[in-house]
Amino acid sequence: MSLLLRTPSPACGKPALAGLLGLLLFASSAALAGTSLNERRPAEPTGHVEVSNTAGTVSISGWDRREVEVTGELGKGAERLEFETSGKVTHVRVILPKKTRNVESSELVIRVPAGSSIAVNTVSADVQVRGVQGSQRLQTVSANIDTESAAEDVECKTVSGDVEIRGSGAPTLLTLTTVSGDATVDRVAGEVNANTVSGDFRLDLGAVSRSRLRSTSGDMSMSGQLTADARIDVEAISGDVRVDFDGPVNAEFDVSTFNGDIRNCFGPKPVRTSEYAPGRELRFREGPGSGRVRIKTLNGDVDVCRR
Amino acid sequence: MQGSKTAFEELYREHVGRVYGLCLRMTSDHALAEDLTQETFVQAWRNLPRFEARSSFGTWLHRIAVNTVLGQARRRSELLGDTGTIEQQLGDVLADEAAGEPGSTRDLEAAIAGLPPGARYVLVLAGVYGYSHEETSAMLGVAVGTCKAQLHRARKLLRQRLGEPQEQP
Amino acid sequence: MSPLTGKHERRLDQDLAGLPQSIEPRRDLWPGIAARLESGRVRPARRWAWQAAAAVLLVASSSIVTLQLVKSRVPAVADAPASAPVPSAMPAAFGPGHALDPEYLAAKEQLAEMLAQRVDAMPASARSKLAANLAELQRATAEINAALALQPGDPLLEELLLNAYQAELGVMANVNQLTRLNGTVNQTDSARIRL
Repeated sequence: MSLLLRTPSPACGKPALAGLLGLLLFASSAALAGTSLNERRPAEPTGHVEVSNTAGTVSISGWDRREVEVTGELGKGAERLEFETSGKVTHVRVILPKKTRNVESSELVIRVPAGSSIAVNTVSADVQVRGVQGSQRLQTVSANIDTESAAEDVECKTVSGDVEIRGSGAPTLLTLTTVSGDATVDRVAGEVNANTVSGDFRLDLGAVSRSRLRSTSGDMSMSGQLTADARIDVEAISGDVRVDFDGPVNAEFDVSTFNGDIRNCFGPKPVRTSEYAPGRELRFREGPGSGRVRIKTLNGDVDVCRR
Repeated sequence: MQGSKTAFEELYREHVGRVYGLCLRMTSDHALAEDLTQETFVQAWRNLPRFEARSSFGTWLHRIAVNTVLGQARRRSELLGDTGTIEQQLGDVLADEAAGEPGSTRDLEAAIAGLPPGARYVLVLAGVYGYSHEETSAMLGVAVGTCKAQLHRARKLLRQRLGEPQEQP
Repeated sequence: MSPLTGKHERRLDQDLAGLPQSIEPRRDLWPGIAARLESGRVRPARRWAWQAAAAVLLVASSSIVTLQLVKSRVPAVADAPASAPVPSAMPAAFGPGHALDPEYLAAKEQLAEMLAQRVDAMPASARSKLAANLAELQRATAEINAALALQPGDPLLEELLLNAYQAELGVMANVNQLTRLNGTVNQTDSARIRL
């Protein structure tokens, strides 16, 4: 599943404006559109930038200037753009009138010092981040998130938005939480914690030392190399779990399911937990067994493989 | 508290037939089906706050009933250790009832009662109560593929039993 | 054995579907049920207003029904300890008869109330997905509880149940946080980011 920064959904009840919002990020005809934006403020090279926008898009990229630049278009009906600096923190906020029902889309194109850390909050505005090396905290309700991580912490949270993350392979801490949004993660290493109710998560990781994956009905698939002291802990109620290991496997395995099937590509076969009760388990050690892989499901099937 | 029990009794009156019908057809045993029906409603009462109105109350009751039936079947086979014997015992109960009343419906009920449990459960849920493969497999805790295979087997067995004189295989 | 034509199969399916779905029991089962609903019932220390069973069904089938159920102070299933003793020697640590932590219940109710206020401001698609997912969580806990009723004390089930409760709380807390946006970023949140 690949994500592109999707066309923002039009605001309700304003058909003419809706057509315009589907176009370029930069303001074209100011008369019909909202206010075009073009501002800059000086900023610390490793400062913090906070962005909030309810609807539209937020596109952030890192550059080598000691400035934060905001361009784009403020949606008609938005009260104003709040763009101010206080110490090491720069705020970029689209302020809407208090009792607004028809939320106008604002397109924010923001450039920040590459070493910045960022925190972004939107409701339905899609978020795209490129070239930011500091930590990232990206939160939306229904919007998609598309980001690249460097070596710092990344946290992404959505209700129904999908998440796509490309890492650098350097170890980091990634925390992913969705209610129904799907997630695709590539080339992230280190510690990866992911939590969803019904989203499907595909995590293609590098060297993974810690991973805690939780799902109610979403399917989880994880691939990666286990470090010597790896701790992998996966629990799903009805979602299926698939774990593929790259490279040598050195771990104690503890896999159990109440109603699901366990398929193991290597090592012993699963056994019934009890003659009279449902349940299957698979416990074995591969190699010296210094790592730990724990997988528990209620109904979900479990596939453990080596590739 | 009294008001809510009265309300629950209304629900009981409205749904007991379908719950008992399901339990009876799954177990082929009147007394057992009565016990399981009572257990179902007691469980429903306890879990009532967790009922979300997205599915029908009757369907929800049926899910509880199926769980209750499966649970007792497991305990029973644990005690008696021989499902073959139970199958025969259970199969006889409704067949005896049918003895005095010739008619295709009774033959069919008796034939269903004589099915092995796995096939019978699937046939009752899907064939009699009209649950989809997905719903049936979810209620029984089996894969959809297993459910379809059991249904196929059940139909085949039924046709054999209906097309030929009643005989234990 | 000759293969049967489709006609015979359809006939069988029709006959099956034509069987009566409702069968009246030979006797009235209600008294036995009613007795089990009230015997051994211990009043929980914290009083909850009980909503009539019929009223549960009458709640408009909007997408927020699960939130309303939590919000309107219907007692969690676990407030009622088992009215009939479980045959096994030990009472189940979890399962339909257990008592949930009062703090957990309080936190959940608080979150539900906050959430119910914010939910209106969510995009409609997210709102309905949220409701569906909360229902999914409740189904999951109900399913695990049902399994525990049959397999009391099963460690896998107990662990999954605990995590399911935590997940429910976590979802509500997360959604509360995510919907707090009103043109501002909460200062507490930003303080956690390394400056």
